[in-house]
Amino acid sequence: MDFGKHIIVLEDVTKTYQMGEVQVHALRGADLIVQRGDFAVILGPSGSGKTTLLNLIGGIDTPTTGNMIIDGVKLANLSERDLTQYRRTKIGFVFQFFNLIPTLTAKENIELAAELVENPRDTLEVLKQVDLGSKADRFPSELSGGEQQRVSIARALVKNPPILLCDEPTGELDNETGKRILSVLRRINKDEAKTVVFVTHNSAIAQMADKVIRLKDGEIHRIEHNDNPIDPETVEW
Amino acid sequence: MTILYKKLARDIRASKWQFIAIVMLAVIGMIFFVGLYSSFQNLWQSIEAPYEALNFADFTVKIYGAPSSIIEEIKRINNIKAVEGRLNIEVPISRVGMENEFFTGRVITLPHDRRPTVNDVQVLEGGYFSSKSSDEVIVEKGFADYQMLRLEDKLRLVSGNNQFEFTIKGIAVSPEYLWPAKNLKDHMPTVLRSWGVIFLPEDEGQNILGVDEQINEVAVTVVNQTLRDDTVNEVRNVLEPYNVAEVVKREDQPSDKILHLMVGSLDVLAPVLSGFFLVVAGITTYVLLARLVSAQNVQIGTMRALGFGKRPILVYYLSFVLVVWAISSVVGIVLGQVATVLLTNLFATRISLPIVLVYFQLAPQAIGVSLALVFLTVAAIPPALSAANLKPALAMRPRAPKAGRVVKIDSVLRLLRVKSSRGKMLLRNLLRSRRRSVSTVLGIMLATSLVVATSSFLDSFDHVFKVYDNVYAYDLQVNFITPQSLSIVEDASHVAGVVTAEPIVEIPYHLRRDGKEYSAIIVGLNTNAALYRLYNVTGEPTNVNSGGILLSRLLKDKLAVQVGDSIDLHLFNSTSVVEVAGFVNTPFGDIAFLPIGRAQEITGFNNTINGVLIKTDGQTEEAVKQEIFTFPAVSRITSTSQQKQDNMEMLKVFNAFIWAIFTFGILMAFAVVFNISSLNILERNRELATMRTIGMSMRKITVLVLLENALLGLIGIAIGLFLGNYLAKYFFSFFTSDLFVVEAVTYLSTYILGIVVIFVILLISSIPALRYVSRLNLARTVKEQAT
Repeated sequence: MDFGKHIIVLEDVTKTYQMGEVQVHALRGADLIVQRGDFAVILGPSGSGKTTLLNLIGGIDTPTTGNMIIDGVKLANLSERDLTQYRRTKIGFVFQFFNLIPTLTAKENIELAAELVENPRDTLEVLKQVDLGSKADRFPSELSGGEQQRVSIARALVKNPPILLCDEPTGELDNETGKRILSVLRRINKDEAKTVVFVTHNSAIAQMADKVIRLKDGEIHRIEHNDNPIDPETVEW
Repeated sequence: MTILYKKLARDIRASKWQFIAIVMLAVIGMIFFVGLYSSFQNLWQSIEAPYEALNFADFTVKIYGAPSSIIEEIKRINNIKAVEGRLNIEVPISRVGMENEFFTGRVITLPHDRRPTVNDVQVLEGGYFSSKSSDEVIVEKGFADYQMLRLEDKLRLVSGNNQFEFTIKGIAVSPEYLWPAKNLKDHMPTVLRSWGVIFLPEDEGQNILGVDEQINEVAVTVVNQTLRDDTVNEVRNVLEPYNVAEVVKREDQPSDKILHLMVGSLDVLAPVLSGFFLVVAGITTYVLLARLVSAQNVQIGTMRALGFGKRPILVYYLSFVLVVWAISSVVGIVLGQVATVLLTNLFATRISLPIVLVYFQLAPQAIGVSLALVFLTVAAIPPALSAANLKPALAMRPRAPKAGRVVKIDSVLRLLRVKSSRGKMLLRNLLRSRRRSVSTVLGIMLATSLVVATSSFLDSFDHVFKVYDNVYAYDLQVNFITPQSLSIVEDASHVAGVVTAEPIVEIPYHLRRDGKEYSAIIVGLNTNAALYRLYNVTGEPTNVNSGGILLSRLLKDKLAVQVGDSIDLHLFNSTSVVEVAGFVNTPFGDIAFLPIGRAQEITGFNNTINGVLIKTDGQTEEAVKQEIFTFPAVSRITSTSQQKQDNMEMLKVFNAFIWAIFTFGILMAFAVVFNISSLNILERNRELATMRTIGMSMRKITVLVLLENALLGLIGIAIGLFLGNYLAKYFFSFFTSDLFVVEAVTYLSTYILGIVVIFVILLISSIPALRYVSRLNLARTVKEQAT
């Protein structure tokens, strides 16, 4: 296994959890390899295990069984402290509902993340990168959904992590705004060679991916390689 | 971490009213602790200073009479530091020009040509006796203030058939009378209306008594306190040939004992009251923080996903209470110091302290601040830990509804035949969020108990006076210097305006049982006494017809006796055994009742009495008083109505304190209920906005929310009424002393007040939150995920 090239490696990973009175098998025997710099889309209907897979890669959830090696870090048996350190340095999260801290401005939300790492990127620079340089001092409630999501992306970028994990980042946005977010993510993927793992139930978005991982009922149903990903601006749904 | 603290500041600002409410709770707790405890220390230092400066006696021995030369013999006893012999007598006195108004003067002699080495006086106005003049008197400050006596005023003393005139040379403070207590029964400041202490040169004292080189009291200070009791015995042995009447150790000295009880109660109340308020502050902090954590689950999950460790999250939520603590400490210390000055002066107004010392007491401030930190931190740790331990993925996942509860409540709904969807929603909501319901019930319970407990303070003092009215059916009590024959009752009953008169024997005695000895007043009454009514502990009328002794409840507890047990009554060298016949409720503590015949037999009064109780027609009380003063050997006439009025005035000192507790109680109740009920609404803004979106009017939503709060409020109020009653009893256990019994009583009106106040607070505190809901941006609120 070439860990320099393979940034995400999953071997027979399962995840089972209790939800109320019900035991849910969220992920069953997942094997997956994502190459460094890939734009990977995890595609599947609701309840197929997409978010679970993303959470496991992000180290905010732990697998019930199986091995995971992310950017050379073996996640199994990592202590809570090491997992925190892993998330701090390796992962940038972008959430469906943005999850911005409502009491902090756009700039402060980004600074909150920047304070966690030793050499963060410049806050204003990342804000400009997502075209929000002029709205640095606005609170989330003063921003549109698309703008909030771009702040969320900037917050992920400021730590300069090798991997961006995006959980339905366009799910709450209209078509045009969604496309803009896709463009920003693709640009970051291309320009900065960040690996992007993008969870969606929208199959149209799969066209812009280098790799498409299709999930169904908690299993990786199929993995497809796309040699000619399309420009995000041309994605239609 | 600077941004995190910025978030903290903004979170606090976002929930500023809840935050202010908690700060207020903590501040109130601190004010009580710092104010009461510092006042206690200030007063104690203010009392100890004159004790020290004026050489307050370690013990005093009362005798029937001994030659002054005996003092030289006592001085030779080991461990004696200083000793003074003196005369201590009571005689009628009046102001020259106002001879119809008599007081009982306690005349204490002091050396003419030097200052006493024990129980000195501090002259505040005028001076000490001049060596040449023989008509000088020094008046105790409390008496002078009460009777508005001035320097150069003239007093006339009556002894037998002789009258002596003295000029007031000085007004002084005595360590023996910092609190104006005649004895352990007459200890209200109003005793000064008819009684006071004056100091005469020793030869003048002997002159008015017609004795030469005689003393009847020996005051002693010792070198080593641990050997004091041995010294007492040795002094007693020396004085035994002169009939030792009583030995009064410093801790039994009436003024000192009352000061200990009064000031000591502050020492006890400080931790109890402030502890209670801090517990409420702690519980409210817990509720607020737990709900804040619950509301910020997604934020916590996000921060954890970003790479925040457990510790910063823990510290973050603990910082919330640290900010509360820091602010409340600063405010609490400042206001606590203000309370200290007010309370110290409030209590000091009733004590003849030459100087009231008001220091910035560091220890109470430090302990108060530390206590607040402990209470708040302990309250904050569980929710802060739960926040730190949240699994990020779980925190951001929607919570699954728990099974079972719908089924349970639905059976109740069927039982209650609730069919409307709003009715179902109302009742199901009670069980939907257990944390919300439990914290609401808990908060309302605490708030109700605060209102009931603090209001019970007022009820209980009111009840004291009701008992007073029930027990004392006489208008005047006449006391005689020497025992009188029973015919004087008949004489009194013939005075114009007297409806009825009854005899009474009153004498201080020592009660002994199982090696324990307590001082008490023994009261002898007619078996059919109608003017002095007795009630047993269940409030039923009783009397002294059984031949045994009836003890006050306090004596029952002290002596640990039951009906049928025997106790020893001891005075001088005689001891009598009496059987306990029952127990009675009295406003004063150490008192016991016997049939008058038995009392005369025990005390050796032999068909004589030392008091008469008089019921007047209500119109001529003053005239009756003047007439009775012409009777032989009258030492004092006490008016029940005057005494009651004076006692009420004295209680004004406490009243200010009690009203402060009551006001703080209401404020705390408001803070607790406001916090919880407003959170109940704000937490559900999305749900309430959804209801508005589907067309439910704000009025219907308001009714629904208020009914929900009211239903939970009912449960909390019901428990709170019981808890409040229990707390009142607990608090009042600290008020009952050797001298005074305050029974914890909660009137029905207080329960009603509790219910009304809480419902009003519930209503008022819902208004701002409901207004916020009515102004919500519906489109945004229903779309956004709770953060």
